[in-house]
Amino acid sequence: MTSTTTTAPASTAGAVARRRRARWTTVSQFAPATGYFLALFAAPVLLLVVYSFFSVRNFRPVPELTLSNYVEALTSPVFRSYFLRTFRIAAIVSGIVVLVSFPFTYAITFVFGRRRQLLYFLVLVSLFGGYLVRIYAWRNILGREGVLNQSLLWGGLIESPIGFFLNSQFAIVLALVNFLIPMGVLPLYSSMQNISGSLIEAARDLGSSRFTAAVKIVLPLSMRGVRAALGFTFIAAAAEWVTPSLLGGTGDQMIGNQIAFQFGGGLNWPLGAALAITLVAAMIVILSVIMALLRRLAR
Amino acid sequence: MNRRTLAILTGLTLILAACGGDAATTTTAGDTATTAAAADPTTTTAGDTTGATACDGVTLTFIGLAGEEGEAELADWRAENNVALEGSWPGDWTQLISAILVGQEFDLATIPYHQGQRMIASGILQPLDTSRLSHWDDMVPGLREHPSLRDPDGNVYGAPIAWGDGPYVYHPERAPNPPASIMDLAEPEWANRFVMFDSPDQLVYLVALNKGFSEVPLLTPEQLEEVGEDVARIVANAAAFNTGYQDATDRLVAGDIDLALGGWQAMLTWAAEDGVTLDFGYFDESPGGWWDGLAIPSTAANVDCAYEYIDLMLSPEVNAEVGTNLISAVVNTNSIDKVGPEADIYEYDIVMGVGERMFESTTPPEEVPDGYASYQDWIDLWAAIKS
Repeated sequence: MTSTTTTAPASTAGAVARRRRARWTTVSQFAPATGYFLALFAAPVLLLVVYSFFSVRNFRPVPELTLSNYVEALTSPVFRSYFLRTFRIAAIVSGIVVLVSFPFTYAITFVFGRRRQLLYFLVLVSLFGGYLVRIYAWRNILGREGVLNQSLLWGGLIESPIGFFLNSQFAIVLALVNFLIPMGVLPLYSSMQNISGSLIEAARDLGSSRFTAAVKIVLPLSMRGVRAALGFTFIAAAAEWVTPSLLGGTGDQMIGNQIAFQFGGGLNWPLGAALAITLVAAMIVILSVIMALLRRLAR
Repeated sequence: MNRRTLAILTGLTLILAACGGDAATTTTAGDTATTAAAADPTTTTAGDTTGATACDGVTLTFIGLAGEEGEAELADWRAENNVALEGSWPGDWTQLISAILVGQEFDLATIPYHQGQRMIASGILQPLDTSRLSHWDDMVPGLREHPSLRDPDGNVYGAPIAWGDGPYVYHPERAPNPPASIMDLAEPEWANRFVMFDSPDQLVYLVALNKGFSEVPLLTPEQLEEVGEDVARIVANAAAFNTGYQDATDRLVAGDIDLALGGWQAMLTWAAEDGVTLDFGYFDESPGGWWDGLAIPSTAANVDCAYEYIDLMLSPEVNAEVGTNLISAVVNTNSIDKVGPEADIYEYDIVMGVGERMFESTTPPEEVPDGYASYQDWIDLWAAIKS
């Protein structure tokens, strides 16, 4: 009895200390990531939200709170035009990326066998190319005296260079699809890893073509990857402003260019912030609707 | 290739891509060619020679136009005095203002004539003590006394280092008949053959002059609307917006365009380095006019060194070298006979007097009289035209 009564508090205290240590270990493990997230994501976004309610005096944001920036962002026909163009381009880009990435990922997962890891690695290697370098490469390809026009001229297929290859929405979409293919392939590859090859073999044994097997078996089972690919690429494309600046024409700017302009040329940070917050909110709404539709389709 | 190897390679790829991605994101903030340098600032390595200077061992930071920081002209002096120079080149002037407004530390900044009042009003510059500039009194009076350098109390905020006119730059072989009027660019023959800056400043000004509005840059809302219709035609005809002078030069050299509106004679030098001959011309409406100066931002950490550096940039030999390299006119009267033949193309009479019209702002003042369109109206018009 005596020994029991004397050791019980000691073991309880030990358990408490262990729990405390475990808690601190957990906290310390999460602290760097949490700190990083708070300092470099949450704080800037919060600052943006605060700025979006400010007014402007002498090119400086001043804390005279107003809703006028949001009113302008939401009701101006000028900004509506930029938003619509942005979402149209983003939808086209994300659609093409998924359409291209799905068969490619299907092929490297189920067709190429042992070489699939090499192909997967090659997709990742494409991320090595610097962003600006690739934009300039596209300029050299699509320009009036670029590779494409010169090849067509040399082949006698055209008589004069085609202007719309560069400085157009065509160029923007082409370059963005090129940049974002890895962002489409990665989530699709991840989701297809969980699909057993025996399912496809069974379908083939029962007379299904490779295409039918891909559409009726792989697509529904990898719908989570499709949604992720669509979401990632839509967000990345809708937030673009550099590609339209360097590859688009004067009428091809996206809402990102207007946000950059308000923070730059317009020196109207509050309006720029309101436009940025509106863009984020609109993207959340649009993606929620698309995801819900895809979920319903998958059922 | 087993899974572990693949995992390692994947991890390495993502890390390297992430690193590359950061750099790319930063470099795309503005002018493609020039901001690439902004992300990876050119650092002139200091030598080990020391001298009696406030700059000894200092790393001087500059934000502004490439070529106006004395990168080449003062390279020897920096090496002798253990001074490093780090340059950042923003895509447009308001990026420069924003960078200083958010507190980024710079010792020197370019102050251009048309943004002078805006920069002073936004509080990003320190007033200059001109008694610390030994060459101040030798400067051409038209620039030294220019009102856009001063606040309402007469304090000076910048020291001009170069000036010139406002030509367009074109490819003479591909465009043997360059435009005479700004409105020529609205014609079908110029469709998709030229670029311009993403700014209403010069275009609205030139079109308003073309329409004969006498109070330009003051325009009534009705006049601005009328101007906007023609500006929209020109913008629709343009191939693209260029993100800087270097970007415009790249496009001219690549053959994608034949003319850059809002040019600079220095573009001819850059193109010549690639073996391409360009030429420049003027619109009938106005030859334009500009000057750029050096100012000390409010965030400067090395003020004494900044003064010394500005004074060196104003010295006869260095200023002549700057003018020659930029194919620009010089500001020191003792530099005029020292410029190279390529930059010996300017008439100095225009800057020997005070109050010449050449350097009037192309945009409305911050406070416009009742009944006139404000600069914000110009910005709104520009956004609507591009939409």
